[in-house]
Amino acid sequence: MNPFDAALFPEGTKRCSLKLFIAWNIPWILLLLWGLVGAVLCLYKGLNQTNMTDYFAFALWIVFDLAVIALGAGAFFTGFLTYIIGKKELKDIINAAVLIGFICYSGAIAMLGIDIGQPLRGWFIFWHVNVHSMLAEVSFCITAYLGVLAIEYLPIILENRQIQRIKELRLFGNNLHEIMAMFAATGTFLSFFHQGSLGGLFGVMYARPFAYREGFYVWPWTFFLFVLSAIAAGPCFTILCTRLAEFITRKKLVPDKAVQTLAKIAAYLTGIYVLLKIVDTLVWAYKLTPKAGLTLMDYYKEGPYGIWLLIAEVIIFGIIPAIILLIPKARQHPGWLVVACLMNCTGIVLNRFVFTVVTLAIPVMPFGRFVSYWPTWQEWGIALALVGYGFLLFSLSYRYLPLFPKERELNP
Amino acid sequence: MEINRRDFIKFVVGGVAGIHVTPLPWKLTDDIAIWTQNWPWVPVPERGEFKEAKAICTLCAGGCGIRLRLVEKRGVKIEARDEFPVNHGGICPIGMGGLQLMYDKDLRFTSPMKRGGPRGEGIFVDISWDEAFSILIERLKELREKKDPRLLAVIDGLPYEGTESLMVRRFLQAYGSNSYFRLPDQDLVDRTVNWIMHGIKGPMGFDLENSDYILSFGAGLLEGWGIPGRVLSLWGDWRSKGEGPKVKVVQIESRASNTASKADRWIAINPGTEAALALGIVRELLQRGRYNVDFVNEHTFGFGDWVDQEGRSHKGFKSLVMEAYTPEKVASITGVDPKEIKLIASELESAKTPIALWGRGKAELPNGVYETMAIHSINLVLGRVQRPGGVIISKEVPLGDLGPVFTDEKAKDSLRQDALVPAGITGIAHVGDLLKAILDSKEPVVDTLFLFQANPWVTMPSSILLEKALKKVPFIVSFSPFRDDTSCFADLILPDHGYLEKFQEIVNPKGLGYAAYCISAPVLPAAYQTKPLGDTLIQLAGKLGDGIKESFPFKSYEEALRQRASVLFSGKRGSIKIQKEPPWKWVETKDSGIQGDDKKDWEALLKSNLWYLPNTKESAYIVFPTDSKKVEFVSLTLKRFKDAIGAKSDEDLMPHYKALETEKAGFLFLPYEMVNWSSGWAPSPPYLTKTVFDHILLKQDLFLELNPRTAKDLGVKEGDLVEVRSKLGALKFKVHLSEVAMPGVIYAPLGFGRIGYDEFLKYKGVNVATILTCQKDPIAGTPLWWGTKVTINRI
Amino acid sequence: MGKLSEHKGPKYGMVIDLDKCTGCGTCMVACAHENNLSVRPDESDIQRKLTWMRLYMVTNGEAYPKTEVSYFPRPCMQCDHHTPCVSVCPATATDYDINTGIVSQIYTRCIGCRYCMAACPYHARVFNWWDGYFPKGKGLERYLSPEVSVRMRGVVEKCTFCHHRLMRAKTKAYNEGRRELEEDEYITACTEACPANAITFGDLNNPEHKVSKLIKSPYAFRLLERLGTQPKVYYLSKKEWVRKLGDNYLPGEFKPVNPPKA
Repeated sequence: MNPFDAALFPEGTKRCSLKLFIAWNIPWILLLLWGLVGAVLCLYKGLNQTNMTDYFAFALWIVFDLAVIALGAGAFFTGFLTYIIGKKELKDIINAAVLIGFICYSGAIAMLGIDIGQPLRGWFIFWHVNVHSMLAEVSFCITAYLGVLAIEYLPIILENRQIQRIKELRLFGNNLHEIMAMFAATGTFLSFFHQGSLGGLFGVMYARPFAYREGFYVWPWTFFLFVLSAIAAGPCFTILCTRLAEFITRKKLVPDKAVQTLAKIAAYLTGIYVLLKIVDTLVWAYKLTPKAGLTLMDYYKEGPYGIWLLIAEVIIFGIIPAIILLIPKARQHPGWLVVACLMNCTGIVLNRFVFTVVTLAIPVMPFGRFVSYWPTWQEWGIALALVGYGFLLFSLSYRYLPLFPKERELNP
Repeated sequence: MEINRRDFIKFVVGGVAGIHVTPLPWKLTDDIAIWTQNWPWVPVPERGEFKEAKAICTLCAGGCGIRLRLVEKRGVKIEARDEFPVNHGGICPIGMGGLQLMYDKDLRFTSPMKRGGPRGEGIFVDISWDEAFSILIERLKELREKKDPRLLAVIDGLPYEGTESLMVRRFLQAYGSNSYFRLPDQDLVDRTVNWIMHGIKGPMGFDLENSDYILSFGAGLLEGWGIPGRVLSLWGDWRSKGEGPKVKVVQIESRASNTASKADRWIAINPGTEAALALGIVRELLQRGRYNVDFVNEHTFGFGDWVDQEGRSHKGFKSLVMEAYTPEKVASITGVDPKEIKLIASELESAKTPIALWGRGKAELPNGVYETMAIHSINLVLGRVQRPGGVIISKEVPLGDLGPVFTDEKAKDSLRQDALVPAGITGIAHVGDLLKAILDSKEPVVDTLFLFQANPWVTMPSSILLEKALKKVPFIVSFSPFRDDTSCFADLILPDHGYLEKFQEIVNPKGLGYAAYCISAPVLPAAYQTKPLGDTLIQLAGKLGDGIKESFPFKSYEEALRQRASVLFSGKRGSIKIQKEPPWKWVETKDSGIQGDDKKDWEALLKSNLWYLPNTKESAYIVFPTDSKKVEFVSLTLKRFKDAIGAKSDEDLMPHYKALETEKAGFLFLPYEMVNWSSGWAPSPPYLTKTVFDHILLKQDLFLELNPRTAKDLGVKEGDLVEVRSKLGALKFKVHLSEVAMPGVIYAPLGFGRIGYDEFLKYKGVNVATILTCQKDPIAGTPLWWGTKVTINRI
Repeated sequence: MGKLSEHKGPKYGMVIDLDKCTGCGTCMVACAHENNLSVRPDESDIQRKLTWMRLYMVTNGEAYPKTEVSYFPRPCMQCDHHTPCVSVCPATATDYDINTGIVSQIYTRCIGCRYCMAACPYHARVFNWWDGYFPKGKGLERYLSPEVSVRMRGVVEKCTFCHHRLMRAKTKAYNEGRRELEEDEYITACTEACPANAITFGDLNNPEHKVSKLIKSPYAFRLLERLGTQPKVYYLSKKEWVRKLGDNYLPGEFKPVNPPKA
């Protein structure tokens, strides 16, 4: 017996029953509800609902924002590779990448809306912009890029079987496909700058020796390292999401060639990134830090954020996944590929965490204190709601939209 | 007409684009911006004309000159007055936050009240002044007619020479009661020492503006000792670099307080042994012969061995000191190196205007009398009395009195009887005596208790007894403007105005080095339905009749003040105009500003807020009204009372050191005070909570201070929750490790653990005063509290 | 922004004598009172305490009885070079005024992103995690001054060198027909309040002003000077251990004023 909503499925595909689908989505909806309660509380009562403090001006949400934006870089980079560089095989995975990007960016912006103290004034960042601020650059670009992602996502929605029957919408969707290259280029440009300026956010803080880096003109080295790490981890995240979808749906959704193309590029990028990161770390540890009158271990001498974090980020979750990915046999091995992608993404998330939370935990004043932070349930709710939102939207998109063009071919 | 889908899309897109060129979205965004700037729950301070008013601050008996910034009638800021001699521009954090104490409704009694819940819970119900008076009059009349007028007792924390306190005593006397109790504080001890050594019944002062070497035996100069505004300002002068001769401060105490850390030298001493060190220093001075021989020979009695009227020979001060306070003996008692004693002695010798100070911490908790005598004897052997930079023992403010007290037959009969709670030899009983009598005596010693500006719950050691005792008192009336802790036990409240809302005065600001009278008119309109204390007493007296009314022939408190001031004016001494030359220059005032016209002079006095009489070398030369007509190292006054004080030997008539008896086991538990937290009568303004570090108070937990070595021995770590138990009771603290603490001694701050006031102070921390165990000073009967031994256990 | 070094007008700065400072906290109370700061029932959490002037307690790290404590009163440093907070604010809610050297804060424009708080190494900036504590009928708004706006929740605030007092002084001078201010006509609330006169305030560009003379002392130092923020708040202390706490030093880097004789 066909599922109730079978008419909405992409042509020739099989989907599970509607009941099972709804059951599958219940945890994600619950997460969303948890997040909604947290958000309402924060908007109504104020940010005292969190455990953020004057020391921890940035906390869980910013870490999440940075992490998902970095991981969502798969969207623009795959688009760049597909439309600008011309790697046609990636067309089989680009939809998923775009969707992941859309989820990440829309969720991040929603979270940011709660994170600022006066959300209704959020638009001041555009209206009263300070062009010298990295955060201004970030805001403009991620908002514009969200628009680009929406435009890239829209044609996928329009490819729904039922919507395709409406001639105007089908034509509109087709037209959009023609100009996708232009949007991909715009997206690449915007993303390069905001991925970078997210790194720039921390690198320019010359009064925070832990975060500060020298750089090229107005762009600190963290600018470039963040871009590099984003395009190294983004494809890995796309691969992980695809593998997860395949695991859950028990189907092969993307041809190996697409995955391997992404993996190979990610491998080289990760390798280059890890090398440059090590160089940057050494320069920071032995040149910049002493200039502020500190030693490397001064950053790690107290509190829960010890030197193990550095080792974990750069070596365990940096060098090791780079090596795994660079070895072709490992890269082609399904298990090792997943492990390497997981480790790579973890490393990047750790990197974002370190720059956000550990920077703020370390005292700068000689008589200051190390402080630590743990989020409240409201904060967790809003952060995990993003995960719920992601699963929900991805599930809906997979069920009703031709997210994976080669699905039918791979599952006769 | 057909609308197909293409047209529909065109319409929608066109519409969206079109709206953007209309004002609508822009107006909406502008509106949103305006909303976020004008949230209705964010207060907008009322505008108005800016005005300034001058006043004095009487939150302590300091009388600092302050300036108020007003918007129309609202006070919005307090500043110190640079030109006011008393505090010369200094102010303490409590004074700075005074406006919060005026306006915070929940801090104050906003109208007369009667008890609305169990005794001690502080639950009250508003009533009118008429009802309050009628309840009180009924009770007082019944007490007087049917029982014993002496059962009306008063705890008076008002400054002793102040008009309000005079009125209180007058009321009591006319009523027929001699049940008058003061707080057992250092002021009581100082007056006792002033009396038994100099023969003067009055407070002592310190001419610190001229001192060049300050040897402080635990006086918390930076913890709020004396008049904090004045002392903190002096501190800045003492630390000024390169301008004038350098003033040296040596601090002697067991703990690295702010004063100790910032003094030129800190001498760590075993707690309670200050008298031994002082006498060791005196011995060193005598040994070297470098003391003020002239002064000692001319103006002191009992320095050398002496023979009394019966022909018996007695040991003198010198013999006592030379025998008993050798450097080795002193070192073993105090833990202070003999080299240090020698150094201090040589510094005292070479200083031009040295002074020795006493009064642990803020000196709200009293020292011992012998102890104070011992420290003061350093001043005496150096002749540093009635001299620039020294101790000023005679500061007469020639105010008039309030006229004769009319006592009817009933009052006369009653007063002929002994007091129900006898005072000691000082003639002034204190709250501790009262509490003991309430708890121990089978017969009632009090029926109705009045509380005036007193909060012994916080300011008196062993205050846990207060709770037990007060619960036995049938009726308690508080006149406090604040919902203080002790007033929580009251049955009836007749609230005073807040300090800036009424006439304020201080006769002889505490510790000032010259005679002064500070006074100011109200600068704020009364915020609530309160009544100035003086007027309440006058009205109460009027309603009682029976001779009490006749003793209060004033129409208002202001009239009483003017009556007293007119005598001041007619005396033609001193000045009601603030002179260019400050009073510590020891020159006579040139233009006193006194015109001899009561009205004009009164206005001038209220304008300057000050009458003062600078010392001069001539005026300072006094004849000591003791039995010997000299300063008495051997107090003949004490000799007269030798049985009452249990004096057994010559030593008991002289300054000497006697260790407190404490249990062998346990740790010494010492309270400490902070300049930025009130442990006195006035509450800490809420702003002060911002200044308290989180190693002192964190949420509701108060921290005690332990030296890390002691903590290790005890097996406790930073942040552990512990129970501290003395003979009187137990309190919970968190542990803070600090090297400011002497190993083996536990310190905790005073003034926390309030049960009154509002959410800013209530239940934060614990009240250390409750578990301090005390012995009785043999002379003044005041509590000796620095021998409390406690056990500590982790919980 | 204009060339800062060429600006001829006043550049307001502060000198705090740490040996005179008694740690009394009157500066904190005066600042809170003057600037309409809200007081919450619990102010014990140092990470959320609303205060512009903050007293830090430091010790010399010695064991008893060589222990010494001291205090650092820390207002906003009004950093003069590439002010860390001004350069990062995305909405221009904070700005460096070249006419006075004061770093302003516009509460009604601040969106509460807290980037400036992350950038400031002195923790001079505090955030309104709650709306101001002014319960109805309690009366706490009765002592608020109309010269300073009361902040809403969700915005950052910090010491402004009592900029409203500058306005007050300039208005007074203008009414008297003058343009120039005398040295003591404009001082901050903390300067006025400090009972020990430990705080001096004035124009660093005016060689006659006390602050300009005091900063020449060999005992003068600034907090975290080597970061390059160019704070306009200077400290004085004759105690070497206190001066050492003004910055981070690797072994051997700290230069004593009076080096021990060989």
